[in-house]
Amino acid sequence: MSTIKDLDDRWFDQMISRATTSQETPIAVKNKDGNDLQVSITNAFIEYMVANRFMILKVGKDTFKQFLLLCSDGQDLAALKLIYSNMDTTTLINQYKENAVKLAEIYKQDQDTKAFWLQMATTLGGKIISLALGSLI
Amino acid sequence: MRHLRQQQIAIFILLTLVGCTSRTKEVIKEQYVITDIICDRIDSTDKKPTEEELKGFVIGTRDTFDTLKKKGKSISISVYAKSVALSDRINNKETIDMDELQQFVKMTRDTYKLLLEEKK
Repeated sequence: MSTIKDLDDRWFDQMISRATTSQETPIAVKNKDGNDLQVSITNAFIEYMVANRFMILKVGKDTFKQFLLLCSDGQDLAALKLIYSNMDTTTLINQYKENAVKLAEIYKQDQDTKAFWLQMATTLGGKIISLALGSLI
Repeated sequence: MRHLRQQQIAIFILLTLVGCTSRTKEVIKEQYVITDIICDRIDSTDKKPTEEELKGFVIGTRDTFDTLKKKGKSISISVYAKSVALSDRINNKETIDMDELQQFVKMTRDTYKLLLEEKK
């Protein structure tokens, strides 16, 4: 299987342009000849890139390419360090605070999901009990 | 047929919960890496963070820890208490020693590291 190392700069240009605009759908992965290529990159990772489009703009293409290489090699902490090392301390702290807000939002969504399923289970449970009682009577 | 529907619902719930856990882990990783870089800069000679930047870090840490505590993550009581005490002092515009702030960043890095190791 080909890896991300086989991709040429044009692919990165296209991917970065896509990630830095509002086009959120993943692009087809092509090789240097323009043919479809199976690469070891997941949709989840593409979504991650799209979600972090502002980060890509901040660090530039070459650093972002290195970031992808490290990620595809499973070195995600080193990849993140590469990105963040290029930022000045004030920007880093702002990112840190934004992450805290992001975490609170994830927690809220988590709670909302749990509440939804609890309500669903209660409603279904109530219906089953009333059906059972109805058949007994 | 009903059994299949129950299975589908169970799988959906499971995937939703796994999704939330995975996103939390990604944020903890980012917080760890940023904290690690700030620690490196504290130890450097030319890139030392300013007092205002470190105060911002304390506020961000308290918010992060608050959410992690709610999620039931194991954060040492002393580190959590320190984040609460420091952020309260910052909000009250009290003077805080730079060494204390720098020490706090290092404590925070250790906490994130433990949280990441805990999940392995």
